[in-house]
Amino acid sequence: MSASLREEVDANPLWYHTLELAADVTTPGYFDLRPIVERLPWPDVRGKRCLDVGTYDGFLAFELERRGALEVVALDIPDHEDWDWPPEIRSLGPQYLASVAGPEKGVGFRIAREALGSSVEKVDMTVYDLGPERVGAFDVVVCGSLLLHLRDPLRALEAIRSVCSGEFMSSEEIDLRLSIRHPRRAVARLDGTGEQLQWWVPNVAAHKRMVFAAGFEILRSIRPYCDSFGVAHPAHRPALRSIHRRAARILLTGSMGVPHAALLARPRV
Amino acid sequence: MTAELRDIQAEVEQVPAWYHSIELAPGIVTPGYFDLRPIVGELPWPDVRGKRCLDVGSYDGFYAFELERRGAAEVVAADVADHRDWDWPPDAREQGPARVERFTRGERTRGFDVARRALSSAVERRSMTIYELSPETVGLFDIVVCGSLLLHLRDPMRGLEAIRTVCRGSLLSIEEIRLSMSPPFKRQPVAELDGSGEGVQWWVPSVSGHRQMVRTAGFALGPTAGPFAVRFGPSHPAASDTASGWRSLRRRLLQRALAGAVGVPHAAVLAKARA
Repeated sequence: MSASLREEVDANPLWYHTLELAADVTTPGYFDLRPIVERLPWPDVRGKRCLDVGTYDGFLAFELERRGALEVVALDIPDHEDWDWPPEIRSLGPQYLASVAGPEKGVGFRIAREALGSSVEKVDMTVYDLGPERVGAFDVVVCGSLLLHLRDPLRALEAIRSVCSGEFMSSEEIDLRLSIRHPRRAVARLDGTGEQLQWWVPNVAAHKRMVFAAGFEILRSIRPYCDSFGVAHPAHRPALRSIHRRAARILLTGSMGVPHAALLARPRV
Repeated sequence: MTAELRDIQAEVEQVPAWYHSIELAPGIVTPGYFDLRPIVGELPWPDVRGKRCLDVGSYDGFYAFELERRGAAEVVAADVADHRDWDWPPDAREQGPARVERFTRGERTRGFDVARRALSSAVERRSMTIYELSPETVGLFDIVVCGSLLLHLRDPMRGLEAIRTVCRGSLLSIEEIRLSMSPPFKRQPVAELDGSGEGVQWWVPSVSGHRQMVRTAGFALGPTAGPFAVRFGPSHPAASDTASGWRSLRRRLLQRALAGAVGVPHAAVLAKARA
């Protein structure tokens, strides 16, 4: 049984999440959220209707289910074309992603869902299209590492607000240096070029400000932490550019990886 | 004062709220929120003679009339007709528009109309948001000017991309910037986020953040200008601002040192549409 599962896992060209699908089968993801998942500011999800926005291979959706959610909906775009491609690479980007991750999006999620015997429901939709008339209201919404890939993160958060009747847990990549330089000012770095598909990377204050501006109040937040690279990530064995940068990252977040901030919020407007 | 000038003066006084200080005739200047006259000569203007030009977020039309004065063949001034079409932050969406209405008394375009008549201008006003710009709605332009608009947009990149679709020549972009996050202090392309309240302010970039926005939208950067200060006009509350204290003093000193005067720090860049 796990032999055929392993074949399926191996056949998927790119795993984004590191998921334990069976005792001896773990997906070779780009990112490994297992070390930090317990530290996130989870609300009580037992018996709740929950939504995971930008689910990719479904790590947070399956975690919601494991924690006792009554119903979990996992949202993601159906096609590589649907990313917010910067104008510069809009024509080539989708092809590039298809060559790296395979032409079909959502294969990893399907394999994982079946292997885990999960009843998470997948919905093909961009975050911008979220609305109560389309997906209903949710007691708990989670969204991880998505906003930096959006040209208009505020519009996305407003869409999330429109379907959130209870609590919202947001975990996003942050810029550490900007967080130290501007501990209170909401400042974000703008990229908008290149294959990394990054637009705005906020500092800790700007991450909070984004969520606040969209109509939430912040209930609590945790210290910045790092999403660890999984075995598939090119930076897994990094020749990091400088030793001091590496040291600073470990000092500030406790590990190597991509610096993140996480918070729990509830609607205010 | 001639009868004609007296008529103009009377019309100017009946406009509930002026945004721009515009000289409509010798001795007649509209009492605006902002006075762009001191900085208009510092901008990296392209040659607009004989060109088809667009002013985005025109308000009372200062830049549109300036384009015309500089010899543009045709000038279109685009702006929203209704304050409800602004990108209101969620927490101001309900009350904000009504509050602005109290100032303008529903006459959003009155100032532009008065100025256009007084200047015998042929500028054409189009009511639309920046997001609605497209070759289908307005055609193509040789020159596009956009001033002090991006900070009021939730998605400034979408706004600039819309401009790119109608620009076959150059974009002159003049935007508010954060001095304290710009050289000589810092060089990163960053922006500060507000997104709350009735100021309708979202992203205010650093100098390099502003350039990055323009570049990302599909333009190649050319000559730049600034930072310079856009002065407050007589109707701006800050014109009679007597705030004291260390923070206010520090801000004024910083503005004087880096932008040459007290006002709203701006930077400008002239950029060419990339293929």
